[in-house]
Amino acid sequence: MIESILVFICAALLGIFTGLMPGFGGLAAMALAYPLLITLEPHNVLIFYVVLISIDQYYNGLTAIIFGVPGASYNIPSVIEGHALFKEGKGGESVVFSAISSWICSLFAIVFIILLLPFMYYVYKIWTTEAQIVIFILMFLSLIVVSNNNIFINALLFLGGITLGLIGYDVTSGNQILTFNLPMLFDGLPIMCVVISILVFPTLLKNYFKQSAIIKWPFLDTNLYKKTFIKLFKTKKLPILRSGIIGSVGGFIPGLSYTASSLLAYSTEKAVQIKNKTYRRGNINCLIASEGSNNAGAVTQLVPLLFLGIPITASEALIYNILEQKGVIISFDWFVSIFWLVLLSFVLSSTLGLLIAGKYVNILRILDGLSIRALYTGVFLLLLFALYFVGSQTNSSIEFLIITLFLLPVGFILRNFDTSPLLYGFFLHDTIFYTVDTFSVLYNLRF
Amino acid sequence: MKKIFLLTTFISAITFNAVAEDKINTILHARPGGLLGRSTELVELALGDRHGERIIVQNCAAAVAYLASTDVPTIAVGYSDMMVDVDKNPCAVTEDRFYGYLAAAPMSLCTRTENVDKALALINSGDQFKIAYANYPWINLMINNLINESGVNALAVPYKNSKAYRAALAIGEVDFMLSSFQGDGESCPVVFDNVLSGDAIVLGKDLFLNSPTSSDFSYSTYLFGTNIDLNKDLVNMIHSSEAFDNRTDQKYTPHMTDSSLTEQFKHISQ
Repeated sequence: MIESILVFICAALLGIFTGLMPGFGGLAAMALAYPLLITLEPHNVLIFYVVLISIDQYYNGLTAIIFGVPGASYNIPSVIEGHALFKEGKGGESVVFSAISSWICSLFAIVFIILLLPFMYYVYKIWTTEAQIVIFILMFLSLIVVSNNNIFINALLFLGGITLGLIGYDVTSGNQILTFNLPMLFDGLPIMCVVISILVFPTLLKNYFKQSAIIKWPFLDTNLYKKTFIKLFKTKKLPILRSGIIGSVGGFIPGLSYTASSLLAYSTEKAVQIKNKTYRRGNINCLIASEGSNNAGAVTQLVPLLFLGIPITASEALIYNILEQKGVIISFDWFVSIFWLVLLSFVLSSTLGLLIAGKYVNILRILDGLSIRALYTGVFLLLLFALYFVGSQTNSSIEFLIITLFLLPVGFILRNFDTSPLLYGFFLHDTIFYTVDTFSVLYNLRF
Repeated sequence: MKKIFLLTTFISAITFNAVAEDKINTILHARPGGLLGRSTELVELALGDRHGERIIVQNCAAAVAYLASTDVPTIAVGYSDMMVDVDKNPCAVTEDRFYGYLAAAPMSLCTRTENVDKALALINSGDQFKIAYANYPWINLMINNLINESGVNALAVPYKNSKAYRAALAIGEVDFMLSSFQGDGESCPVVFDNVLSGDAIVLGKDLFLNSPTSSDFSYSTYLFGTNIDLNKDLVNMIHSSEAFDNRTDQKYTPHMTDSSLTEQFKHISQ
């Protein structure tokens, strides 16, 4: 219990940090927390993830509204609408509206999952190898279509990730692939080395040279909480309901997940506003649609992972990997056993997000004067330490650093690409291979 | 000459005692909590005061490499899969490092309890039946040996792990799963052993005729190490310990205890 509370607090703090740091997403945060995650009980790993993404969403919205900097692609609508409101002097109002709609939509998604629960068992009943192959193909297609590179590059990166995953000793053929007789490579490249060199390092590098500013946190008038709640329930019922539904459904889309939720809900709301001739830049309905829906999607995106063991985003794939290393067998029984814990964590973290990113947002004025570059440098040093620490758990600190050093040039070359397809392929290569192998035996397709 | 003899004997005695009384380190080369993790813990408990420190390495290949470089008495627990394809397998152990079988559990054909009669009838009908198994090298080799040797009309279907094949069994994608562990709602009517155990009603050798594998198909763990001159005594000591009596994996019992180490080594590396 105490461990869970500490995990909750750590994840919330990291969520605030990643939310405030442009370009520093959930997957990079998971890499930073990796040394902690590998020591936690499986349910605490999930609590960590749930709290991290929930709080991260609230703060990503904040930086978009206040500074006009999207923390992630799903925050672009908040920059368009929220930052325009901020410039009109309605910063406090937009922050409060955004926080409250996010909270309501999170709860909506939780109810949505509870209503789905009776039907989920039937999904499990048809979860055959064929169904899994179909899902993998759909995931691959959506991943290469939606990731932020062109389709050809995405497909290449995905295949590159699978190739990286092949390094090691292949138990079925008895061959060693690029192990150079190093025992630590017989299991393949360590996850931490790959994530840091291919994802985190290029992200930090890119942002280090882009963000040279010092944080200047403005005072926001947030004394309109009660009024906003009442106003939302009286006049914004439909936009909230629409974003709740679109957000919850969008969360299931492989590869995109809550990014799809946000962009779909925003486009829908904008279309409604244009039709009603009420749209102008700085539209509060569009802002709450975007901010609310991504929180709803963040809740529902967990269902395929927890229920069927299918991670639909790269950060979920990392979580899946950690759970597998801990010997967790993702099954219907496991899903049932952790279901309420996960939902409770969402309710609590959302409520925390509502308070610290809404009513008490001005507490962040303590960050005034901090250099963003100094923060990025600190993160990089912390990551090196984390890498050394994880390696030391298996007496391989130096090997971890050497492998990372060898992979860094790859990360540097790929610094201008979205590397999530590569990481996705790397994390899931063995699951994909095993499923294809099972399929080929069942249908006599093995050569 | 007599003096030299006495001196040599004295030094040898001291050296032997030093080895015998040295603390023994253990290596953990798999995740804690799994079969190997539990077995390593069991060995440490059985060693009691003689246990030195636990060394954690990345994998079994690193464990084998570690043993080659240390001069401290060190042991680790290995498992069947490490001894498949010994010429190329970086985890394979040489005979001088093999200290004997720790335990073994017979493999069984299991199915959902409600399907036992139907599944057995399918075997007897001569129609093809499907056996799911975890795609580990040793199990892969053995199940295919079993089917090829007996000529039974069965299809061995590899799955990633036990979760995957249990799900496949539950939805009817396969008729049986090959396992040494029986879960809730599952029955294991066929056991590959010489005696019936658990809820088994048929011996594997009565269904998979003419297959030597059918009566000798057990997943096993063994001890390997270096700088210890105790060999089989070490395994005997563990078997007679309280920790072994109270082990979690009660299905894993002492294996081939009457055979010499050479015979045991030949058996595991065949």
